[in-house]
Amino acid sequence: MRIWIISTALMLASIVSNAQENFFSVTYGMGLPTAETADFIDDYSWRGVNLEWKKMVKSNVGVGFTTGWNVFDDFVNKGSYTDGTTTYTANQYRYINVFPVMANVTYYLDPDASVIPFGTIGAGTYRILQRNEFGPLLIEEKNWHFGFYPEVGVILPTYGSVDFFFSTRYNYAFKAGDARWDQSYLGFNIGISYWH
Amino acid sequence: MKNLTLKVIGAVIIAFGLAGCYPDQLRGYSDYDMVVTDYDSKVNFDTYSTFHLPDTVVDIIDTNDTKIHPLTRAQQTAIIAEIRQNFLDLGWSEVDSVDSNNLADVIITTTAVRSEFSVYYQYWYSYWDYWYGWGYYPGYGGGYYYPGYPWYPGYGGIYKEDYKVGSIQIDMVHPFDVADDNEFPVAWSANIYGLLSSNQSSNESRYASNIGLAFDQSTYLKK
Repeated sequence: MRIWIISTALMLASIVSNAQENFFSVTYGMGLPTAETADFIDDYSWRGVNLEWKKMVKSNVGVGFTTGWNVFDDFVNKGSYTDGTTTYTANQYRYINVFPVMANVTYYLDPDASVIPFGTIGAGTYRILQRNEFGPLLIEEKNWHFGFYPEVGVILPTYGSVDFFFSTRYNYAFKAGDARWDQSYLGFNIGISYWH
Repeated sequence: MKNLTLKVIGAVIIAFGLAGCYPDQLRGYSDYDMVVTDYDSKVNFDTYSTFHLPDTVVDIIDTNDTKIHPLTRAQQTAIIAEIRQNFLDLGWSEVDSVDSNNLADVIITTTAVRSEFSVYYQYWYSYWDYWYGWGYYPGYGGGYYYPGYPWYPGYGGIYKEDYKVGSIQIDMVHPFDVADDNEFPVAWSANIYGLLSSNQSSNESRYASNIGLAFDQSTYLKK
C-alpha cells in the first residue's frame, strides 16, 4: 500500500503543479477511531493518504474537493458475539477501509502570514468497506455513507515551491445500507501543499 | 488539466474502493476455529445438578473416504475426559452408571463429524480471495459469504486444495421432559468447528481449548 500512496501522490502532484489559482495538498493521513467505530476497531491507523484540490474564489477562501484512503485493522483473540441464546466465539480479524469523496470550503485566516491557520467544512460521501473475518465466517458490509467533516489546521509557508501542511479532521459518516452503526474517526494529516 | 486530474483521482478511488486493503492475511489453523453454544431459554439450569456422560463419541465420517480415519479409542477418551472435567469444574456431579434408582438430571451426548471439501483458489489478486464456512448463521448482522468458493474463469490461475474439517457437538438432553413426538429436548448444545491439520497433537490441543471455551461462554451452567 505504501508504494501506491507514494506513487499516487507523486503522479497527482506532477499533474496539478502547473495549475494556476489553485490549492493542492497531499498528506499522509493517520486515524483514531471514535465512538462505535472504536468499539469495532480501537487500534490507531497508520495507513492513510489524503488528496485535496481547491479553486481559490477569494484570496482567503477556497472551494474544492478532497478524497483519500484510510485503513483500520484490529485482531480480537477469541472474541465472542451473542445473538439471543446463541454465542459465537472465534478469532476475529477486523478491517475498515474508508474512502471519502467530499466537497469542501476552506477559510484561510491570513494567506500572507508566516503561519496560516485555516478551517474547513466538508460534506459528501464516504465509501466504507467493513470486514470481520470471524473464524470461518466472513462478515462484510460495503456501503456509501453520507457524511461530513470539520477540519482545522495550519500551513507553514516555506517560500519555496511547496509548503508544509498539518491538519486534524473529524470524519463522521451516517449509518447507511446494511451498516449497523455510524462511523467516525479523527484524522491527523501531515503533508505538503501547493498554492499558486 | 483539471479534467485529467479528476479522472486520475476518480480512477484511484474506484480502484481502491473496489478492492480495499486487508493486511495480515496469513492465518493459522486456530484462526478458523469457531465455538458456538446455544441453550433452551425455557430451561432453568438451577434445577439440574447431575449428569451422565456416555464414554463413546459417535463418529460420523464417510467410510468411503480413505483420507479420514475413525477416531481412536484414545482420542475419544481424551474428548470425553475434557468434557467431564469442565462439567465437574462448574460444580456438577457425575452419575457414572444410571439405573432406575440412580438417575441423572441430564445426559450428555458427544458427536464428531468430519469431512473433506475442496476450495478453488484464484491468484489473479493480491491476496487469496476465498472463504469457506459451515453454514449460515441467522441473526448476525451484516453480509454473509457461505461457503463462498468464487471462481472467475479468465481472471488468472485457479488451483484446487482439499481441506479436512471437523466438528464436535456436545448436547445436553433432559430425558424426563420428553416431548409429544418422543424426541428428547436439548437444553444446551455446543458446536466446535475447525480445520483438521495433519498434526494430531495440535488437533487435540485445539479440541481441548475449544471445549473449554464452550463451557466458559455458557456461564448459566455454573452451579
